[in-house]
Amino acid sequence: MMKNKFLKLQFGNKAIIFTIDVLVGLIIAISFLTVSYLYLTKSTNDLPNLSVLRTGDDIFSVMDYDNDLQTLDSSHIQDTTYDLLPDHYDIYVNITSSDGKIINFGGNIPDDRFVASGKRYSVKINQNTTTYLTSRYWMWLK
Amino acid sequence: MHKKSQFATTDFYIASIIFLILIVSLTINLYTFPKKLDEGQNKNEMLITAYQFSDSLVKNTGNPSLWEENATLIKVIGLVDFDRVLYPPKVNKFINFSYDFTKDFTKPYEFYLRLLYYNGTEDLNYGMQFNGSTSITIRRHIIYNDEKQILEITIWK
Repeated sequence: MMKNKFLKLQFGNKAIIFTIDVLVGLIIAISFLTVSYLYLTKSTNDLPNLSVLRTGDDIFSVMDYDNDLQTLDSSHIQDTTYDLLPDHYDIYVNITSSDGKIINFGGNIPDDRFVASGKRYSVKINQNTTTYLTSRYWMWLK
Repeated sequence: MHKKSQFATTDFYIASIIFLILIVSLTINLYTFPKKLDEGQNKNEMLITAYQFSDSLVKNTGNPSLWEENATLIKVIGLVDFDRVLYPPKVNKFINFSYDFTKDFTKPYEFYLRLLYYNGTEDLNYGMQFNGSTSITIRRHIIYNDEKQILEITIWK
């Protein structure tokens, strides 16, 4: 009885079966190695993100101490913020006061990278009036 | 019969070569990965040391809080009298300590710190300049002598 041939090759089908076997084996082995290598080497490290958070905290602490925030002058606060902000950072700021003033400025908050945010409460005492300020900021690497 | 054995031998050679390539690449992977892991771990430890040291300097007065009056009592270093506002007598006392004494604060790493104006000029420096293989530099925004400045700390080994 004649065997059915998969392909009508001169020496039968064994060679092509072996070749396919080798190719499949190779693809599986190389894929496994590549995936494991990428997985092992591409570890996420969130520690450097703390630097963004600390920079924002520092900037608003310094501006609070120097009474920059208490001026509630949008252009002054904006200029001071960008003077202190390192070049490779961008920021969005929202300041609200208990007497109803709102200050907003900065870039668009991205959604494709780490964004650090923080809040600082300050007080402005002017003769007999006390105003409470809440400064929120969002900072990210450009 | 001859063709079959030739084919089997060639197949064996090819399989051996592929096997060797896979084993070699696997060995290289296994050899380099712990090294990379160690490097990452070292960097992280240095970064944490830098954060902790800089936090200690710019966010607390130290322990005891008036350590600058009797430096022999110092337990925890701190250079401020108000959050992020460096107190000049503490700074002066600190930079007059011998480096052998202060390097204990960042043990086992060395450190170098600078106070910079925002235009980039240096107000003062202290410590041992980078002379090793790995370093981490962080910058903190502070007030010194009623002026906004940057405290730059480099931790290295």
